[in-house]
Amino acid sequence: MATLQTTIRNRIGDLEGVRNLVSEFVRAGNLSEKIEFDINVVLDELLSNIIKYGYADDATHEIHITLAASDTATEITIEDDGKAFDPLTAPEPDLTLPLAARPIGGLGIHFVRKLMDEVVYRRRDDRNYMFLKKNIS
Amino acid sequence: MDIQEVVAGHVTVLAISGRIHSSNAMDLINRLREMYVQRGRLLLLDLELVDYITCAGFRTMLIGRQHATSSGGSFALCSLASKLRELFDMSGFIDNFAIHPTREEGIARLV
Repeated sequence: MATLQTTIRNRIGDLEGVRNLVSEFVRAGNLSEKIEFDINVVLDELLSNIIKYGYADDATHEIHITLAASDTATEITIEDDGKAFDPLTAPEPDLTLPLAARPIGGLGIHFVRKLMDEVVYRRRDDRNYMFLKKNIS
Repeated sequence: MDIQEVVAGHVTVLAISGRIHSSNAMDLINRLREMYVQRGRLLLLDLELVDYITCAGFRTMLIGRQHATSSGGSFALCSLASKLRELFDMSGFIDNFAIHPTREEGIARLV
Protein backbone atom coordinates (compact mmCIF):
# COMPACT_ATOMS: atom_id res chain seq x y z
CA MET A 1 0.00 0.00 0.00
CA ALA A 2 1.46 3.36 -1.07
CA THR A 3 1.27 5.88 1.77
CA LEU A 4 2.05 9.59 1.88
CA GLN A 5 1.92 11.78 4.97
CA THR A 6 2.20 15.45 5.73
CA THR A 7 1.76 17.77 8.68
CA ILE A 8 0.38 21.28 8.24
CA ARG A 9 -0.19 24.18 10.63
CA ASN A 10 -3.65 25.57 11.27
CA ARG A 11 -3.20 28.16 8.50
CA ILE A 12 -5.35 28.27 5.36
CA GLY A 13 -2.21 28.99 3.31
CA ASP A 14 -0.82 25.59 4.30
CA LEU A 15 -3.59 23.86 2.32
CA GLU A 16 -1.53 24.43 -0.84
CA GLY A 17 0.93 21.88 0.49
CA VAL A 18 -1.92 19.40 0.90
CA ARG A 19 -3.07 19.97 -2.69
CA ASN A 20 0.48 19.30 -3.89
CA LEU A 21 0.60 16.13 -1.79
CA VAL A 22 -2.65 14.94 -3.37
CA SER A 23 -1.19 15.53 -6.86
CA GLU A 24 1.90 13.51 -5.92
CA PHE A 25 -0.25 10.76 -4.41
CA VAL A 26 -2.44 10.52 -7.50
CA ARG A 27 0.57 10.40 -9.81
CA ALA A 28 2.38 7.78 -7.70
CA GLY A 29 -0.69 5.56 -7.47
CA ASN A 30 -1.73 6.14 -11.09
CA LEU A 31 -5.16 7.14 -9.81
CA SER A 32 -7.85 8.83 -11.85
CA GLU A 33 -8.52 12.55 -12.19
CA LYS A 34 -11.92 11.89 -10.66
CA ILE A 35 -10.32 10.50 -7.49
CA GLU A 36 -8.00 13.51 -7.32
CA PHE A 37 -10.97 15.83 -7.67
CA ASP A 38 -12.93 14.04 -4.94
CA ILE A 39 -10.00 13.91 -2.49
CA ASN A 40 -9.29 17.61 -3.00
CA VAL A 41 -12.91 18.63 -2.43
CA VAL A 42 -13.13 16.54 0.74
CA LEU A 43 -9.78 17.60 2.22
CA ASP A 44 -10.38 21.27 1.47
CA GLU A 45 -13.71 21.13 3.23
CA LEU A 46 -12.63 19.21 6.33
CA LEU A 47 -9.27 20.94 6.80
CA SER A 48 -10.59 24.46 6.28
CA ASN A 49 -13.31 23.73 8.87
CA ILE A 50 -10.71 22.53 11.39
CA ILE A 51 -8.54 25.61 10.73
CA LYS A 52 -11.42 28.10 10.93
CA TYR A 53 -13.48 26.64 13.77
CA GLY A 54 -11.42 23.97 15.50
CA TYR A 55 -9.35 25.98 17.95
CA ALA A 56 -10.22 28.04 20.98
CA ASP A 57 -6.83 29.83 20.99
CA ASP A 58 -4.62 31.61 18.44
CA ALA A 59 -1.69 29.26 18.92
CA THR A 60 -0.12 27.25 16.15
CA HIS A 61 -1.38 23.67 16.00
CA GLU A 62 -0.42 20.74 13.85
CA ILE A 63 -2.80 18.75 11.66
CA HIS A 64 -1.63 15.40 10.33
CA ILE A 65 -2.88 14.04 7.00
CA THR A 66 -2.25 10.54 5.70
CA LEU A 67 -3.16 9.27 2.24
CA ALA A 68 -2.96 5.55 1.52
CA ALA A 69 -3.83 3.64 -1.64
CA SER A 70 -4.37 -0.07 -2.19
CA ASP A 71 -5.66 -1.82 -5.30
CA THR A 72 -9.23 -1.44 -4.13
CA ALA A 73 -9.47 1.77 -2.12
CA THR A 74 -8.01 5.11 -1.18
CA GLU A 75 -7.93 5.90 2.53
CA ILE A 76 -7.50 9.30 4.11
CA THR A 77 -6.84 10.03 7.77
CA ILE A 78 -6.95 13.49 9.35
CA GLU A 79 -5.76 13.95 12.94
CA ASP A 80 -5.95 17.19 14.89
CA ASP A 81 -5.82 18.44 18.49
CA GLY A 82 -8.72 20.88 18.14
CA LYS A 83 -11.99 20.98 20.02
CA ALA A 84 -14.01 17.79 19.95
CA PHE A 85 -16.15 18.05 16.84
CA ASP A 86 -17.87 15.33 14.85
CA PRO A 87 -18.81 16.84 11.50
CA LEU A 88 -21.10 13.87 10.90
CA THR A 89 -23.47 15.19 13.54
CA ALA A 90 -24.26 18.17 11.26
CA PRO A 91 -27.76 17.70 9.88
CA GLU A 92 -28.16 16.85 6.20
CA PRO A 93 -29.18 19.95 4.25
CA ASP A 94 -32.80 20.01 3.15
CA LEU A 95 -32.33 20.07 -0.62
CA THR A 96 -36.03 20.48 -1.22
CA LEU A 97 -36.09 24.00 0.24
CA PRO A 98 -35.95 26.91 -2.20
CA LEU A 99 -32.48 28.41 -2.62
CA ALA A 100 -33.17 31.56 -0.64
CA ALA A 101 -34.40 29.56 2.35
CA ARG A 102 -31.56 27.06 2.32
CA PRO A 103 -28.54 27.57 4.56
CA ILE A 104 -25.24 27.24 2.69
CA GLY A 105 -23.60 25.70 5.75
CA GLY A 106 -23.87 21.94 5.92
CA LEU A 107 -23.26 21.61 2.20
CA GLY A 108 -19.59 20.78 2.68
CA ILE A 109 -20.18 17.75 4.86
CA HIS A 110 -22.95 16.72 2.46
CA PHE A 111 -20.30 16.63 -0.30
CA VAL A 112 -17.96 14.65 1.96
CA ARG A 113 -20.62 12.01 2.64
CA LYS A 114 -21.56 11.77 -1.04
CA LEU A 115 -18.03 11.66 -2.44
CA MET A 116 -16.64 9.09 0.04
CA ASP A 117 -17.78 5.52 0.60
CA GLU A 118 -16.97 5.50 4.32
CA VAL A 119 -16.61 8.39 6.75
CA VAL A 120 -15.83 7.67 10.41
CA TYR A 121 -15.12 10.08 13.27
CA ARG A 122 -13.33 9.16 16.50
CA ARG A 123 -12.30 11.21 19.55
CA ARG A 124 -9.31 9.63 21.21
CA ASP A 125 -6.83 11.05 23.77
CA ASP A 126 -8.16 14.59 23.26
CA ARG A 127 -7.64 14.36 19.51
CA ASN A 128 -10.04 14.24 16.57
CA TYR A 129 -9.62 11.55 13.94
CA MET A 130 -11.47 11.41 10.64
CA PHE A 131 -11.13 8.20 8.64
CA LEU A 132 -12.33 8.39 5.04
CA LYS A 133 -12.42 5.68 2.42
CA LYS A 134 -13.10 5.87 -1.29
CA ASN A 135 -13.46 2.57 -3.14
CA ILE A 136 -11.75 2.31 -6.49
CA SER A 137 -14.09 0.59 -8.89
CA MET B 1 -6.75 30.30 -10.03
CA ASP B 2 -6.56 32.74 -12.92
CA ILE B 3 -9.40 34.97 -14.01
CA GLN B 4 -9.47 36.33 -17.53
CA GLU B 5 -12.01 39.02 -18.31
CA VAL B 6 -13.46 39.21 -21.81
CA VAL B 7 -16.16 41.65 -22.87
CA ALA B 8 -18.45 40.19 -25.52
CA GLY B 9 -21.04 42.78 -26.52
CA HIS B 10 -23.34 43.33 -23.56
CA VAL B 11 -21.94 40.39 -21.60
CA THR B 12 -18.80 40.22 -19.47
CA VAL B 13 -17.21 36.79 -19.48
CA LEU B 14 -14.95 35.75 -16.60
CA ALA B 15 -12.98 32.75 -17.81
CA ILE B 16 -11.64 30.99 -14.75
CA SER B 17 -8.85 28.46 -14.85
CA GLY B 18 -7.17 26.35 -12.20
CA ARG B 19 -8.58 25.52 -8.79
CA ILE B 20 -11.19 27.33 -6.74
CA HIS B 21 -10.83 26.46 -3.07
CA SER B 22 -10.93 27.87 0.44
CA SER B 23 -7.62 29.74 0.04
CA ASN B 24 -8.70 31.79 -2.99
CA ALA B 25 -12.52 31.75 -2.98
CA MET B 26 -12.56 35.19 -1.36
CA ASP B 27 -10.59 36.65 -4.31
CA LEU B 28 -13.33 35.49 -6.65
CA ILE B 29 -16.09 36.77 -4.37
CA ASN B 30 -14.42 40.20 -4.28
CA ARG B 31 -14.09 40.19 -8.05
CA LEU B 32 -17.78 39.34 -8.48
CA ARG B 33 -18.76 42.02 -5.98
CA GLU B 34 -16.76 44.61 -7.97
CA MET B 35 -18.47 43.51 -11.17
CA TYR B 36 -21.93 44.00 -9.74
CA VAL B 37 -21.24 47.44 -8.35
CA GLN B 38 -22.24 48.50 -11.83
CA ARG B 39 -25.97 47.81 -11.91
CA GLY B 40 -27.41 45.64 -14.61
CA ARG B 41 -24.19 43.77 -15.29
CA LEU B 42 -24.60 40.58 -17.29
CA LEU B 43 -21.98 38.11 -16.17
CA LEU B 44 -21.02 34.74 -17.55
CA LEU B 45 -18.56 32.53 -15.67
CA ASP B 46 -16.78 30.19 -18.05
CA LEU B 47 -15.63 27.20 -15.98
CA GLU B 48 -14.18 25.09 -18.81
CA LEU B 49 -10.60 25.32 -17.54
CA VAL B 50 -11.40 24.85 -13.86
CA ASP B 51 -9.58 21.77 -12.53
CA TYR B 52 -11.76 21.50 -9.50
CA ILE B 53 -14.00 23.50 -7.28
CA THR B 54 -14.41 22.81 -3.60
CA CYS B 55 -17.35 23.65 -1.42
CA ALA B 56 -15.80 27.06 -0.67
CA GLY B 57 -15.66 27.76 -4.39
CA PHE B 58 -19.17 26.51 -4.76
CA ARG B 59 -20.36 29.00 -2.18
CA THR B 60 -18.75 31.68 -4.33
CA MET B 61 -21.10 30.81 -7.16
CA LEU B 62 -24.08 31.10 -4.84
CA ILE B 63 -22.88 34.47 -3.60
CA GLY B 64 -22.34 35.64 -7.20
CA ARG B 65 -25.87 34.69 -7.99
CA GLN B 66 -27.13 36.57 -4.93
CA HIS B 67 -25.16 39.67 -5.96
CA ALA B 68 -26.70 39.48 -9.43
CA THR B 69 -30.21 39.23 -8.06
CA SER B 70 -29.78 42.10 -5.63
CA SER B 71 -28.17 44.42 -8.20
CA GLY B 72 -30.59 43.72 -11.04
CA GLY B 73 -27.94 41.89 -13.06
CA SER B 74 -27.83 38.39 -14.51
CA PHE B 75 -25.48 35.56 -13.67
CA ALA B 76 -24.86 32.41 -15.66
CA LEU B 77 -22.30 29.62 -15.90
CA CYS B 78 -21.02 27.77 -18.95
CA SER B 79 -18.79 24.93 -20.14
CA LEU B 80 -18.81 22.83 -16.97
CA ALA B 81 -16.71 19.68 -17.19
CA SER B 82 -18.54 16.52 -16.14
CA LYS B 83 -16.87 16.42 -12.70
CA LEU B 84 -18.00 19.94 -11.95
CA ARG B 85 -21.46 19.21 -13.25
CA GLU B 86 -21.67 16.23 -10.90
CA LEU B 87 -20.86 18.43 -7.92
CA PHE B 88 -23.58 20.89 -8.90
CA ASP B 89 -26.03 17.99 -9.28
CA MET B 90 -25.04 16.69 -5.85
CA SER B 91 -25.51 20.07 -4.20
CA GLY B 92 -29.19 20.26 -5.01
CA PHE B 93 -28.58 23.81 -6.25
CA ILE B 94 -28.25 23.04 -9.95
CA ASP B 95 -31.77 24.16 -10.83
CA ASN B 96 -31.02 27.56 -9.36
CA PHE B 97 -28.28 28.34 -11.87
CA ALA B 98 -28.48 29.15 -15.55
CA ILE B 99 -25.92 26.72 -16.99
CA HIS B 100 -25.07 26.77 -20.69
CA PRO B 101 -23.09 24.15 -22.60
CA THR B 102 -20.85 26.67 -24.39
CA ARG B 103 -19.65 30.23 -23.97
CA GLU B 104 -21.30 31.26 -27.24
CA GLU B 105 -24.67 29.96 -26.10
CA GLY B 106 -24.28 31.59 -22.71
CA ILE B 107 -23.57 34.98 -24.31
CA ALA B 108 -26.52 34.62 -26.66
CA ARG B 109 -28.92 33.65 -23.89
CA LEU B 110 -27.89 36.22 -21.27
CA VAL B 111 -30.34 39.06 -21.27
